[in-house]
This record gives sequence, structure tokens and C-alpha cells, in this order.
Amino acid sequence: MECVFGLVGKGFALVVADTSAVHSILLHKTNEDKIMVLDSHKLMGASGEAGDRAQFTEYIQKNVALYQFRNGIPLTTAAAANFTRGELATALRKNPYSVNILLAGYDKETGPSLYYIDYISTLHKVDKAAFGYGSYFSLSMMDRHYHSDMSLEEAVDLVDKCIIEIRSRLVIAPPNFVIKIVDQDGAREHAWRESIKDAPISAA
Amino acid sequence: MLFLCICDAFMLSVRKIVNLDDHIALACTGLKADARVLINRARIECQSHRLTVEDPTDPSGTFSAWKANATGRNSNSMREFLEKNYKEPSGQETVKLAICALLEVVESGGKNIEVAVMTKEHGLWQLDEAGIDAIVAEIEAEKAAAEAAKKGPPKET
Repeated sequence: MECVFGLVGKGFALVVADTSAVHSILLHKTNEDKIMVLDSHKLMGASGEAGDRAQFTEYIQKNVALYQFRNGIPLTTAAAANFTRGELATALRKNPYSVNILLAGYDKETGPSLYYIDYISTLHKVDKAAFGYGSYFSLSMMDRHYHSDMSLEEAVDLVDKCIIEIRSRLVIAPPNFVIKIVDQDGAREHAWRESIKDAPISAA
Repeated sequence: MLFLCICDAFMLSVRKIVNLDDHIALACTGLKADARVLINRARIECQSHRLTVEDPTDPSGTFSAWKANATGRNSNSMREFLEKNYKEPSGQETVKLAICALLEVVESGGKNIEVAVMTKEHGLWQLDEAGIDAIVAEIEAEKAAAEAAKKGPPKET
């Protein structure tokens, strides 16, 4: 029931992910961060097999860092997306990674961008995208309300609309979400949307 | 693997000081061609270490073997100089001491000297030629003043 979605606005891109770590019928934790900060201006939101998710995104993050040390300049978002797709493709017929990825980045020359990369190495450059059962609701809401060059306020409002739809319509909806943003000032956490906080430990 | 070579308009010579990671730098002397192979291996090893060990390396857990050292041509005389003059410097004094040591064996001038400073707050940053020349001028002025003082006072009869 993992939900990851994202969209591009005016001068920024947002990636939103649920924060539940689930194993079969058990919810381990409600504050699992599934959006990795690849470098100063890139975000990678991932959904899928928990082990693959952590392993693959960390592997990409370290390779992005290695490129920067070797060459003195960072990768562009497009280059990072194509590199990621290449790694998924290479592993596909041997040890495939079950991870779906939304890669958002900001480049000085080309502005914000969002890439859809699914577990069988499909790569698309998009304005809005979503993975998981939640995509049925968030894609519909975005198709209805999205327009290009949305302001941050409008975009976060649309994100909230999507989260409300997911919470009200998805049978086992994740309770909490995290919203991360990438713009010219870099990649960072923007907000959380929590409907459940971990219960405080009661005194003996 | 495609190797990309990037020429920075401001870099006129092969760099001898490079970043291996955010908190590790490497200075090299000798065959540059061999050095770049080893630097590449070291960079890969840094990221590989981060990937496997996961947590950022605590600097206090690694060997900080030397307070001062020298390598390459004339390293013996530089090491001697450092042994004589190292007095736990901090901040700008450290930079001055390093340049002083280099001046013992190298022609003075920013063109022949590369200085990189690593701090916790700012990571690795390199001094520009003007900055190095300024410190060299300061050192030479101090040396001249010391020489004058030596020749000056004994005039008592």
C-alpha cells in the first residue's frame, strides 16, 4: 500500500511519500523516510521491496558522490536518471531490484525536472507521476487540478488534496506522509502530514 | 568506463592536492600518472566504505598519525624545520608555518606553492595565488626584520 507521488512546479519539484514500514500485516514504524537526498539538488523517492529500496538508493547515492569527486562537478538530473535506469536494466535479467523510483532534481541551466523510473527500467521525464495503489487517486487528482508553473502554495495544496483522497479511499491507507522539495536552494524536507504520532511511553 | 577530463580555466597545472571525500584530502608527489590511478581507487574505496559501514566515519576513530610531516624531494630538510618550529599552531599560524617550511626548499612565489586547508566547518578549501603571495610577503618581512634586529643592537661600547 506504498504511495509515492511527485510533481513539478514553477522553479521547484515536490516528491511525496508515505512513511510506513510494513511487513505482511505488521506496521513496524510510521516515520520511515523513503525519499533519499542524492546530493545537494536531487531527491529520489522510492517504493517497493524494503531491502532493495534501501540498498539500491544508497548505491545510487554513493555513485553520484563518486562522480562528483572524480570530475569536480555534479551530475545533471537527466544524467543521474539515465545512470539509475542503466543500473536497473543491468540487474534486470539476473538479480532484479523491485524498486520504483521518482527522481526529482534542480539544474541551474534547465530548472526543475522529474523522472519516472519503474522496476523494469522504464524511464520517462514527466511533470507529475505516482506509484502504488495510491496512484489511482493521486494521478486522478493531479490530472484534474495540475497545471504547469504552479506556485509552491498551489502545489502543496494539490498534494494535500491527493493525501486526503488516499486517506479516505484506500482501504489500508498509510497514516503519515513526508513532503520533500528541491529548488535552486537545494533539496530538503518541506513538511510532514501526520495523522498518527507514536504513542508516548507511559510512566511506570 | 568513460573517463571525463575537465579543464578548469583557472587551473594551469596538474593539481597535487585532491579531495577523496568530504573529510579526506590527499597530497601527492612523484609520478602523476600513477597517482591518478591510486586516487581513483581511493575515492571508490571511500564511497564503498560509506556504503558498507553505513554510518559516517568518526574522525576520532581513524589514525591521526602525524601533527606535522613532509614528503617528496627535500622532505628531510622540511621535516627537520617542522620538528624545530612546530609549536601547536592554530588557525592562520598553521598556514604560515606550512608555507615557511615550503619556502626552505622552494623558490618563493604563489606560482610554485599550492595550499589546501581542511576544517570541520568548511571542508577542504584551497588558497588562491594572491592569498599565498600575501602570506609569503609577510614571512619575508618578518625574516628581514629578524635579520635587521640581529645586526642592529650590538653597538654598546
